[in-house]
Amino acid sequence: MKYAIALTVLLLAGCAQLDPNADPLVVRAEQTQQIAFDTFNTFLQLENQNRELYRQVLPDVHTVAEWLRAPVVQADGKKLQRGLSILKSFDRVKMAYKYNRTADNKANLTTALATLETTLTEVQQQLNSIKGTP
Amino acid sequence: MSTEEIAKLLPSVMQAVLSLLDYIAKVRAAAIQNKEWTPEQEQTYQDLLTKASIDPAWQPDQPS
Repeated sequence: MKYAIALTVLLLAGCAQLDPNADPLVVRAEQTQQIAFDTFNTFLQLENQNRELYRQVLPDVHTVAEWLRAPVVQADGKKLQRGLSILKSFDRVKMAYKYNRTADNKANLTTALATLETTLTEVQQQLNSIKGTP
Repeated sequence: MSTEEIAKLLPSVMQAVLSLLDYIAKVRAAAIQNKEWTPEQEQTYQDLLTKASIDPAWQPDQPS
């Protein structure tokens, strides 16, 4: 199933033409951050429906869910769930590049994108492992 | 598994299937937009993050 989803995304993304005024890095960053939020959110909604069950039967799934939920301190001193903090930090890096397209900002966004994609892959794996359970 | 047991599981299975279909639809929509976000789309995304921060599914376990 995950390969079907990935293939569909690739086909659809490949078929659609890139806006000539768009920066491919920004487009990819925005697609990734939207997919990452949808994935994190879907995973946590499903895990939350049977949180106790997953804690006992699939502890790895629950551990990843709690890792995303754990509060972390932001740059402004406020606490936010780690999954949301990751997405907000990524968005700040993207906006920095979007409005000031320097080589440094591009490198920062490229690095942040790779990190976000790694986290996304991990959560997608956990999401796949809970899809087959009630 | 008895019919009663299956009936009990059905709502959560249906919910999982619906969530998955919704997820696929969102992934598809994100993939086909090959242009940069407008300020309105950026604000919509920020609103999603803010809304999620108070969603019960995003709250960590309470220490027992």
